[in-house]
Amino acid sequence: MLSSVAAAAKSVLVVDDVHMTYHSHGQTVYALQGASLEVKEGEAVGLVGESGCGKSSLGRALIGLNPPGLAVIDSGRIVVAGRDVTDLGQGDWPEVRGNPVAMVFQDSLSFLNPVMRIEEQIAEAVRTHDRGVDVGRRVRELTQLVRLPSAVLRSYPFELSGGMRQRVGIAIAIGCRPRLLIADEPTTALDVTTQAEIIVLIDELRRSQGMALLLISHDLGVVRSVCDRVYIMYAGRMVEQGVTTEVFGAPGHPYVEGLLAAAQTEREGRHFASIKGEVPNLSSPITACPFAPRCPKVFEPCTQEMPPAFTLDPATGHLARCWLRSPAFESEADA
Amino acid sequence: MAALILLAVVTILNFIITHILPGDPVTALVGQFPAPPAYVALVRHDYGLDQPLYVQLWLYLGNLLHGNLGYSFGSQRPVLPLILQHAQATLLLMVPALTVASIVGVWLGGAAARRVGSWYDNVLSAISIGSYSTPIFWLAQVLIIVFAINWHVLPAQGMYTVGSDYTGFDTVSDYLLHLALPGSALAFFNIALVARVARASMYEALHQDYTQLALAKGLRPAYVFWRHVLPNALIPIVTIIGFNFGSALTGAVLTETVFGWPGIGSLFVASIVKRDYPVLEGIFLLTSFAVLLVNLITDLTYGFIDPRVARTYQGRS
Amino acid sequence: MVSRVDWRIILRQPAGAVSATVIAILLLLAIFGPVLVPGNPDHISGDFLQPPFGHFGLGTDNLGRSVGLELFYGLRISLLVGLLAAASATLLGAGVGAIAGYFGKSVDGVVMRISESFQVLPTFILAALIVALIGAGLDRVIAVIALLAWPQTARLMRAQVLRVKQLEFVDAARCMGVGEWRIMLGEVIPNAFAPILATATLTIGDAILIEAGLSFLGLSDPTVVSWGRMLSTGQRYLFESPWLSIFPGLAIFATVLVFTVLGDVLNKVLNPRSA
Repeated sequence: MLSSVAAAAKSVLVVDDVHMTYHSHGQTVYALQGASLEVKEGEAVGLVGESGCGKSSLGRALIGLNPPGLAVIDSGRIVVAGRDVTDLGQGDWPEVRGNPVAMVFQDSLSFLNPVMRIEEQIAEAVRTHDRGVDVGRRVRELTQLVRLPSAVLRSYPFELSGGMRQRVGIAIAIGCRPRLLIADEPTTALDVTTQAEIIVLIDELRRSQGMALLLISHDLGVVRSVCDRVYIMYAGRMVEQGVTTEVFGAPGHPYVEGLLAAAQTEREGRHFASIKGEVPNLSSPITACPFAPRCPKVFEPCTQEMPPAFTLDPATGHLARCWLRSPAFESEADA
Repeated sequence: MAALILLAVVTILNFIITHILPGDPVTALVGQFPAPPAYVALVRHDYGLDQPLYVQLWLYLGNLLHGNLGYSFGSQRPVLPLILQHAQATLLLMVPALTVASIVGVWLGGAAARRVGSWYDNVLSAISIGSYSTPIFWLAQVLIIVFAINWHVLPAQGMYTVGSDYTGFDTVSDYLLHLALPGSALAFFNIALVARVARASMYEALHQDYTQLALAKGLRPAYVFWRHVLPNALIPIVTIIGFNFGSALTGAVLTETVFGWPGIGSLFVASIVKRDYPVLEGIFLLTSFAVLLVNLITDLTYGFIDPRVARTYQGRS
Repeated sequence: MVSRVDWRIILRQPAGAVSATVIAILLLLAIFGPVLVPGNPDHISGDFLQPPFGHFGLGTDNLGRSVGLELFYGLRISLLVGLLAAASATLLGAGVGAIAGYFGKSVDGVVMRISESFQVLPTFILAALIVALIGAGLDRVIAVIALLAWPQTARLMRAQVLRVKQLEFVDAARCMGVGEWRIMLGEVIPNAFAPILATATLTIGDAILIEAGLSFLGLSDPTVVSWGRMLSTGQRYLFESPWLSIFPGLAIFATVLVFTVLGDVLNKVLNPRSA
C-alpha cells in the first residue's frame, strides 16, 4: 500500500507490493507476502517487526544480498533512486550498491574482514565511490565524522570494541556517499549505553550528509527516537504505517498495541506483557489476516480475508490493515 | 621453546634406537663370514661400541655438534656430506612437485567450494579418498608402465640421462623430462590433500559475513574473492601444507626408490640393504630436523600472516 | 560400547553398506580361504614370468610362483597386520589418552608432549629405521606400526574424555560415591569411545599401507607373502612383466580403500560435526 501523498520522483526508495520466496532443500518459505514501503529523499523511516517477519529479507533485497538462486521475487517492484532493481542481475548490482544505497550491518565483528586493516576497509569504499579524491585524507575525515580516534586506522577489527566497529561500519557506508542508508539492526548487538551513542550518531550523520535512512529494528525505542515515519511489519507484509508519533501514540492495529504494551512493561521493569501465541509459519501464503490467531480483538472477517489498508488520517498518511478500522465497522461501532 | 625440546628429543631418540635396540651393527660390519673374535673386538673398539652407553651418548652428542655424523659403513665416506649431497636431488624433486601441487590443489579445492554438492565436488572427494588409499610407490610404477613403457613418452629412471653431455638449456630440459613422472606421482598425492583442505577453507571463507559487507560497498565479486576471501582462506591452507611436509618427505623417499632418483630416498634404501647404520641414523636425524624446521617456519608464518595471532604474540590484547 | 553405535545409520548410507560388505567378504576370504582356494603360494614352479589370463591364472613371478595365490595369501597377511596393529594402537592410544584426559595435570602434559613429538617426526622413515635395526618379523612390524599410530588415537580420546567428563552424569556418579577409576572406565570411556572407532578403522588402512611400504623396501618378514614384497619384485621386472606390479598394487588400493571409506562414513556419523 502506498501513501497517496508521495510523488515517485522524489522518492529514493519505492517497494511496491513485493512477494518473495526462498527455496531451499525442497522447502519454500514465503518471506514477503505483499511488502510495500517508500522512503523520500532525506527522510528517516523505520521498519519495525519481530524476528521472522521478513524485515531483514526485505532489507537484503534492497541491496541485492539475498542468495541469487534461492531467493526469488515473484511479483512487485523495487525501485531504488529511480532505477528498477527487481530483476537486476548479479553483474549489475555493484552499480547500485554503496551508491545510491549503502548498508550498515548488525554485528560488525563478523562483517569486517578480520585480516584487513580498518584503514584499508574504509579506503575501499572511498576508492570505489569517490573518484579523484585524496583517499587518505577522506578516510581520516570519515573517521572523524564517526568520532573515532585515528589510531583505529592501523588496527584490525578484533582489536576494537563493538561500538567502535559499528562506527567503522557507518564510516564505510557513508564513504560510499549514499543517498539512502539502510541500517539493519545496527544497535542490537551493543550494550544499552553504546546503543544510544550509535543511534544518535546515525541520526546526526543522516542530517548532515543529507541522506535518507531506513532503520530496520525490532526495538521500538530506537525507531521512535530517530524516525519520522514508521512501517510495522508482520508475516511478510505491512500492517500499519504512518508518522511515528501518531502510530505509537494512537496505534490502529492490535498488533502494534501489543508491541507497545510489551515495550512499556519492560521499561517499567514489570514482567513481560507479551503477545500471546507465536509468529505464523511462512511455509505457505497467508490469505486472511495473519495476526488473527493471536488477536484479542479478532472477529469474523479477520479469518476470511486480508484487510486492505484503511486510512486513519489522510493528512499524515496513517494507514492500518485491520478490519476494525474499516469505515463500515467504525460506523457500526459508533452506532 | 617447544621446538628445541623436540630437537633434543629427536636426537636422544635416535641414539636410543640405534644403541639400545637389539641388533648388532658390528655383525653387519664384519661381514657374513664368521670372523675371529679379536677382529670383531677390534672393530667394536674402533667404532666406540665397547664403551659404556653414557660415554657413547656423550661422544655421539659431541660429534653431532661438530657436524660429524660418523662414517658410512658402506662407502667409507663421512655421513653428513653424503646425505647433503643426496638431499640436493631430493629437493629438486620435492620443491617443484609441491609447488605445483599446492597451486593446483588450491585451485581445484576453491572450485569445489563454489560448487558444493555438485558432481565436480563429489568427483574431487572421491579422488581424495582414492589417493589417500593408494600406495605412492605403486602409483609411481603405474606411471612408468603407462608413460615410459607403453607410450615411450617420458624417461623412467634417474634424474639425468646417463652418459649425456648436455649443457645449459639442454640440461634443464633433460632434468624436466626426468622430473615429469616422479614429480607427477608426488604431486598427485599432495594435490589431493591440499584440495581437500582448500575446499573446506574456501567454503568457510566464501560464506563469511564480511563478504556481504564487501559486496554491499559496491565492490565487484571478483575483487571481493581475490582481496577478501582468498587471503582468509589461504591461512589454514598454508599451515596445513607446512605441517604436511613430513609425509610429503616420506612420499618423496618412496617415489625416489621407484624411479631411481638419486636423492635421500635412494640413499636410504641402499643403506638399508647394506645395513649401513650411520647413514640410516643420519638420514633419520636430518629428516627429522628438516621436518621440525619446516614446522617451525610454518608456525611463525602463521603468526605473521594472521594478525589476530601476531598481535597476541606481541602482548597486545 | 560398540553397541551404542547405531549401525543402522551407517549401513543405510550406500558407501557404508558397500564398504562394510566388502570388508566382511575379505575377512571371510582371509579366514576360510585356504580351505576354499587350495594351493601353496610358495610353490616354485618352472614356469617363470608367465603373463596373466593365459594358462597360469593371474600369471607367475620370477620364481614361478602363482601371482593369484600370492595375492590371496597376501590378503591374509595385510588384514592380520592391519587389524592387529590398529587394535594395539587403539587400545594403547585410547588408554593413554583417557588417563591423560581424565586425570589431567602432569600426566596430561607428558602425554601431549610425546604425541606432539610423534606428529613432527617423519614416521615412516622412523619405522623403516627401527625395523632395519631390530630385524623383520611380522610381530615386530606390527609392534612398530602400533607404536607410531597410538598418539593420534590418544589425542582424540583425550579430547573426547575432556568433553565427556564435564557432563552431569559424571558428577552424579561421583556423588553416589563411585571411585574415580571406576567412573573413568565405566562412565566416561564408553561415552567417549564412538569417534575412536572411526579413527581405528582409518588406522587399519594406514597400517596396511605402512606394512606395504616397509616390505616394498625389503623390510618385511621374508617368510610371509606380502603385497609390498610382490611390488618390490615387480619393480625389478617392470619392463617385461608389468602385471607383477599392477595386481598387488590394485589389491592394496582396493583393500585400503574400503577401510578408508568405512572410516570416513563412521567419521561423518560418529564424530561431532566440525565447521
